[in-house]
Amino acid sequence: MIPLLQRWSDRANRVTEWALVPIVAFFTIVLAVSVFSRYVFQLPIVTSIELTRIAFVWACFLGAAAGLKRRSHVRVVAFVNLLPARLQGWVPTFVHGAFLLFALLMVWHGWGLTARMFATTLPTLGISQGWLYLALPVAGALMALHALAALLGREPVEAPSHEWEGGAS
Amino acid sequence: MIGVIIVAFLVLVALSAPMAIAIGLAVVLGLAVASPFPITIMFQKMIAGTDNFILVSIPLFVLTGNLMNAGGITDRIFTFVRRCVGFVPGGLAYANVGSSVIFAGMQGSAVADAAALGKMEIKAMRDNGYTTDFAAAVTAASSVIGPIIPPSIPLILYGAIAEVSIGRLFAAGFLPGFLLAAALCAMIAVMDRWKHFPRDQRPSAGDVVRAFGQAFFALMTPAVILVGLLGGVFTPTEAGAVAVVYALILSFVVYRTVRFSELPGILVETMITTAIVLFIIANVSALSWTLAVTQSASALAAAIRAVSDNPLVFLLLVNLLLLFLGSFIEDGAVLILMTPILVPIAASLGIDLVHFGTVMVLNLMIGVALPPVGMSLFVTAHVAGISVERMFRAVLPFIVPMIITLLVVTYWPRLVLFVPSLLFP
Repeated sequence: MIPLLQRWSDRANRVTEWALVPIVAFFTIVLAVSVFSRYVFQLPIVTSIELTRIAFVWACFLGAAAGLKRRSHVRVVAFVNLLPARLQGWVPTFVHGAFLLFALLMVWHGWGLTARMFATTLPTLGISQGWLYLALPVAGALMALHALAALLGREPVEAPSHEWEGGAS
Repeated sequence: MIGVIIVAFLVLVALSAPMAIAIGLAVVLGLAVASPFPITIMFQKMIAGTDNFILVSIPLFVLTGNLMNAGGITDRIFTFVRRCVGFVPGGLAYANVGSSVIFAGMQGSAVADAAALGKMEIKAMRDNGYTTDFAAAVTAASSVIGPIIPPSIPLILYGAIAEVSIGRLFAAGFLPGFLLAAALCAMIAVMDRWKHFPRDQRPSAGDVVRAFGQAFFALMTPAVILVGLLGGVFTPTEAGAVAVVYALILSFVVYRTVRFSELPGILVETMITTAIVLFIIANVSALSWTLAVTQSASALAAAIRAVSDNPLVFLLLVNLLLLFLGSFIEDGAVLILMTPILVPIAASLGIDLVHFGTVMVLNLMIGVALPPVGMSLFVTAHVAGISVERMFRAVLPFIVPMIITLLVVTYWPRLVLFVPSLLFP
């Protein structure tokens, strides 16, 4: 059961990371093309902003799910490091459990919102707002899967090795 | 509701729950047990907080930095600066700071600066007779310049959350960035008094011209980005897209240093870095909403104004608070968390919000190079191959010029606002 869950989690994450490439490439290209078409050909692309917004929201939520798999979410470890070793053993269980709980809430409420938002449409693109909100339950489901596999598999919470390419700070 | 949220948040953070999750669960709990609002609002605000066109510029600037790094473009910049200043005593240390100033004009993150320039700078300095510790310390300290001189990811975060013009914020970053570079160079000059740093041989004019030629297209990047951005031609997001296109052309066409097969990995890395930040923003925007509906920010502002109405005292308290929070929470997360709380108070005291943003960002980015949680220190220690404890000791002398710069920027708003007032009258 647990190895199966971990296999699914790995497989789902491979698909997620694979899907991120075209999404990021897409909004970058759309933006670049719209800048050139506006300044070089004086032709604004009005739908570009909404397309970019949808792609960006999806990239953020899928990226957050992949970030969970890579264990790169920011945590404050100063206080738990002061705990006795016996209690520190519970930290991974707590962290994965908290992520699992929040992910399940994302699925439940995100799905409710998506269902409601399918009735409204984005002004220039004319497609449903639900596509924007669907990112919540999908990312929530991915996070729940990863967190459950990590929880049951007793995986650590620290990133295995640090690979710094860049950062937001 | 706010009381429940604050207590739950502190407990969750202390137990080392991820920041984003700690905020999200605390808000959900506050909504569930102590408010008339449905929990769904929390998740609706998550999408609303992420769905912001300005924030799209973040992955674009991160990607530019990653491409410049993978493409070895940073090497050419360092070589050029080294030819220009390497022949004075301590020349390589000044070249280290100078390269960060130029690289800062292309990308907006301290960690990217330390990771991209660090390896080659530390190797060059070590080969030249500097100690590894000193080389690593200069690299970590100068990486702080990256997010102060525009473009800057922290300034974009602040501008997006506080609803302040990114163009003005970017313009405001110039002089503090140069001031910080000058202060770091002054510290190197002081240390040279008793350490007597080595120097390069004086280069011939031909060497300098050749290094300039090899770095020419890389050196033009800041010009391309900044002229478009500050001239009001592009929005920050469009400037980011232009920067990416320019970096792609440099890496794939001009210098041909990146293979096409490396691109998917760079894109995924870029987006995960961005998503970690954006996931915190998503949750903070729900928190900001609860602060707004309960009018907590104005209550807090009233409480602080009861203690002191003096903006100078408030700025001092903000600096101490941010240095304190930044000493155990990752600095980008502090920025996202504190901006919606502090900005209304600053505004009510009549502090210019462009100046306030520059102070907040400079303070927190100095934290990136300070022990014990400064990300640049970890990256640089890793790149230099020394222990984090040695890194902490080595960087200590450079805290002095950084704090002096912070005080000048805090208490001399006209210095900060000079460039914005020229460009945006």
